[in-house]
Amino acid sequence: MSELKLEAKQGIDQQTINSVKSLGESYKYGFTTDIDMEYAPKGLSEEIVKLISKKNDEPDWMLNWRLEAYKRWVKMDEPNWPMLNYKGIDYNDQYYYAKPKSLEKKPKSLDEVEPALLETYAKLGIPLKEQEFLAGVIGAENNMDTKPKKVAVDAVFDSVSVGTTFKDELEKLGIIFCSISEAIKLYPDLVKKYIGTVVPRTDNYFATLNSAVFSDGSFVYIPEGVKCPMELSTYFRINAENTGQFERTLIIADKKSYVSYLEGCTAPMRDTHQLHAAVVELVVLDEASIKYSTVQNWYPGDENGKGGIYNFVTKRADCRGVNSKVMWTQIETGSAVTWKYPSCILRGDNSQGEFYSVAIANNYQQADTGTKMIHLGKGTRSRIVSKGISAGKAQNTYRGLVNIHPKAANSRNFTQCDSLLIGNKCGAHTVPYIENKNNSSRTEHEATTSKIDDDQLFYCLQRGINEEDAVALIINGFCKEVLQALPMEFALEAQKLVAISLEGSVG
Amino acid sequence: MVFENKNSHWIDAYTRKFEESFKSINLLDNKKEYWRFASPLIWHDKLPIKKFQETRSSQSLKFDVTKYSFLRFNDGILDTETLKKFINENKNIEICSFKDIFLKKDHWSSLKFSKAQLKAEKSYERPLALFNGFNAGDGVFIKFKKGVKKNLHIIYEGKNEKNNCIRNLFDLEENSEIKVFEHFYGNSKYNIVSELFAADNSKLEHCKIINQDISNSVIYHFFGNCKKNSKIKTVNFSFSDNPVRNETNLYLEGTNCETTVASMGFGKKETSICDNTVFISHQEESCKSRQIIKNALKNGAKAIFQGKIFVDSKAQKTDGYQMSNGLILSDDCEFLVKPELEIYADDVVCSHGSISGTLNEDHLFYLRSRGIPLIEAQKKLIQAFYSEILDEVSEDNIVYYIQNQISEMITL
Amino acid sequence: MFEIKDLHVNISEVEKKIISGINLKINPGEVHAIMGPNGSGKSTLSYTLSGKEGYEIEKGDIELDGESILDDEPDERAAKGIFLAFQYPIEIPGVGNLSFIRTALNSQRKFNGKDELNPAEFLKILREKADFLNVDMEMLKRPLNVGFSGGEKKRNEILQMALLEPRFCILDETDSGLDVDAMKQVSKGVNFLRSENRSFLIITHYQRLLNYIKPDFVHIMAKGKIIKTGGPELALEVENQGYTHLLN
Repeated sequence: MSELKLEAKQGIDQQTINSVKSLGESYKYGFTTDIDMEYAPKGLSEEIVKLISKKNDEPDWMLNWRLEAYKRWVKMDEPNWPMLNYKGIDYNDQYYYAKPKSLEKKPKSLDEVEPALLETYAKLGIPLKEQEFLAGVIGAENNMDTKPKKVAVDAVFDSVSVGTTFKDELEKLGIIFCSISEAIKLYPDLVKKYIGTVVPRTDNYFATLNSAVFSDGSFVYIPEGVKCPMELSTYFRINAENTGQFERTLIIADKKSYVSYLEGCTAPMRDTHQLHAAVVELVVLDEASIKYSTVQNWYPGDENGKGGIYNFVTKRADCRGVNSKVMWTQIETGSAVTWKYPSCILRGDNSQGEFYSVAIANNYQQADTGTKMIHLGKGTRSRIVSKGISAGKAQNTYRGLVNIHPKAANSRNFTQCDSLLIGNKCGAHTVPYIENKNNSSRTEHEATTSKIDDDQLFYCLQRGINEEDAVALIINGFCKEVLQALPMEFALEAQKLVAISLEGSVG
Repeated sequence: MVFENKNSHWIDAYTRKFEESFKSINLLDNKKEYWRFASPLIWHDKLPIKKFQETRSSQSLKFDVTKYSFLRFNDGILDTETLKKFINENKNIEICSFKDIFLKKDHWSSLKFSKAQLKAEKSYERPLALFNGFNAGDGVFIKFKKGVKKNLHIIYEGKNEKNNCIRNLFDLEENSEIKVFEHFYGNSKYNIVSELFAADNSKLEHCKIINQDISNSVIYHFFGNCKKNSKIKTVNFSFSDNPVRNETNLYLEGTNCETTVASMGFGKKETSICDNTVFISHQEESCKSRQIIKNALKNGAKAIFQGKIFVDSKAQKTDGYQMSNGLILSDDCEFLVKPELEIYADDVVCSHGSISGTLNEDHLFYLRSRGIPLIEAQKKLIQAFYSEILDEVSEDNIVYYIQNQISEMITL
Repeated sequence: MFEIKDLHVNISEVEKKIISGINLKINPGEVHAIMGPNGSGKSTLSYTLSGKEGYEIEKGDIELDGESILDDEPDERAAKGIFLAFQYPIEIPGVGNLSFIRTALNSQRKFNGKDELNPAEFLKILREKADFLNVDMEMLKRPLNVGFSGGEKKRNEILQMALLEPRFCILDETDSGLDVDAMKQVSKGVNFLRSENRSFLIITHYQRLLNYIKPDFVHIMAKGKIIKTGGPELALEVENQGYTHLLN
């Protein structure tokens, strides 16, 4: 405990103080873009699956793949084991496909994209122009490296990709970064070879649903030996009402390659719940590594629990190669309901998996999130750092699995999961499963649950910081280890987000 | 009092309820969290009951007869001689065998009977405790009156080839201080439910030893309701080569309760499964609970720990702690744990930890660098691994007895 | 006589060569000091001599009375009289200090064909030595090194040395983390144990310990080799001028 306290105190620095002071409104991404949309009819049926496939101009093999998933899904039951309590989802009262009319014909370049769409992204702070971030502007105090940073973006609006930036520059290196609907057409062999091999179509209720109806998403291929020179990022925006978003992302890091990938998500404030069921598959070959970061800020619903996104996501990395590495970092602040367990299958010898997570649940939000580390190869290593914060009437659960297979000799796991409670109407839960089946392997798990330390709070108050800011400061300190794992460009954004998400939780 | 007609007894209503609930559960459903790691069938009827075989006789545990009263179960039936002796020696304790309760129209236990179990069944159903509820053949019901201090030693011995269902009830009135040691030898298979009612300021030290020569499975449910300022400790030792499940459910219903659940298991055969399932429910303020679980495993043995600290929103200032350690000494062993926290109050300090792995190389080197041979060094470290559990036992002869059992078992 | 012959050592885990050719001959009764900057391989040497796993001997030999001890396990080396006073004595919860020392002593006696000491005999000897070294009997009842202060840990090491009566003692940075008083106490113990049959190898970063334990020889170690050998005056030279001038 004492170590934890120390760290939290150390975590408070001027940068945090400043960022907390400059907080904006509660959910600043809640606006709606007024735009002409084309919808598929409401509801889910074989016809809808066929329609989505047709809209994307897909080959037969893809359509059949979807139809098989659909047939399977119809026979499956929604899981009831998470500590989540939500009204049943009426799968026939959703739109499964919504597309801005102006994108009927895919724009050749971003210049052709409808201005209202571009404005939406500008308002969200997403650079759809091929501009360079000046690292000096963001987090300058900490960043000695003031070289301009580039971030390539694939923007997904409701069911379709708006456009992808820096494509040409990436192509020169042999890197493929495009929407998955394009990839199915342009690189069918790659897609065929890898899709569904990490998260099989039959994996779970939501992944199977996604397999049937996914409309778009991102595709990345990093060729052998290439270190991707810029951050790749996908920005998901749900805009249309009553519309589910089902994106599918597939990233393949070939031997000795490296990529850092970031996804962000927002949605307008709406009174009704909206469904988001995504699948992310990462394939990591020999000596390759992928850093995958998420800042999930879907609309969480209002302070009475009205509206908000139901977020059911299956993310999994398959470390197939020797010495391969995956690092998941997630900042989960949004959504009314979150069900998400980014996992690593450590198949290759000496492969490594890391999971860093901050999950904040305020008001009536519910989060059941964590990770799975499956150690199959020899000498595999995993590390889990999870920070959960509950406030208001929220329920926040860490659920994790560490499994060391009998053949995974000399493997190691370290898990640290800490929970903070703010107020006595919320809940914080920890449900780890640890299964060690090898005598040369070691697992270590530590978890604590407590409230904000009174001494820390008093220290801040005594220095003239008001209670709400002080709590935000301390929470940022509590989360620092995870926030630091984010790419520099996004760490500060995430810090602000942490503070905003907790607004109104004190006093 | 539940009196339907002359021929029915107040217990019958409970019995029927248990039977109904049991029958509504599908024991084959392997998706239930409650038996995620080991099916209840392992303890129920999946394993054929082994015939009695004369094994090397276990060292017996010597107690100072002036300090302890004895009760003995033979083949699941409470021995009347020891019971008579107990009654003669202890005027301030009310005691009755479970069998005899059926002969009494009225009994003090009717106000308590099954209350602790049924409370726990609300959170999730425990099929084998339910099974016990309509199959118990005997048991002992004891009421320790206000301020009584007593040390009790219960021996379970037998050679029969039945599933012996035994049902005990310990009622501790205010300010009583009780030690209960339970010791299992011999052949029989057991399904035991013990209920505990600990009144304000009462104190219990409960210790259970399941010997290596127990040749069938044991499942033991301990359900306790703990009131204000009570201090409850239950320590389990399991050396069995056969499946053992210790299930401890304690409800802390008064302020300032303190509870400790400590368990050690040493499994050294493929057939050995040591399952500790613990549920501590903090219902009131300022209670403290600790769980310490240690399992050493070799030759394909398996250990399971499912432990939960539940903190109600009323239970501010809770201090909860949970530690599980697995010492894996050879290939093919499994250490499977699910240490859970479910917390609805904010002013709490709860923590848990779990470590599994083999002996620490640096520790081994330090011992060896002083001239202690490898095997000796390993033995020392295994004993050190358990020391935290032994520290919980106040009775020296039990500590020595366990130490001897451990060193006998460590032939690496 | 203790002899190190052209010793080359790699650390297996990082596949890095740490010691590259050390020769050293230590006669009974002699006290040798090895000094060197951080990272020169001093601790690797002490672990290698005492037989810790993970230190791979690429070349060379370590001999006790003309016989190689390379194939001996750590406990066999200890029983043959090699003692390592650790820089960081490890804490082992659950192992009682007293029972640990008795087990060690009796294991060594058994190895050397002597009768084991009964608890009474053992306690008598222990008390004697503990009194002399100012070791509180209370400390002996606690778990091995658990919660001991830096000074207590080092005194516990010297106490073990006094009881086990080794022929060849390696003191690995015994002065680290000690204040002057604690250092004096530890040195007193070491000086008491000096005898014509017993030799010492004192590994240290600073000269100050050598004010209290006078060495016969001082060796300067750098980059896995002994680069200079001299008498006590060499230690003073280092104290005054640092290591840098010797390294060039």
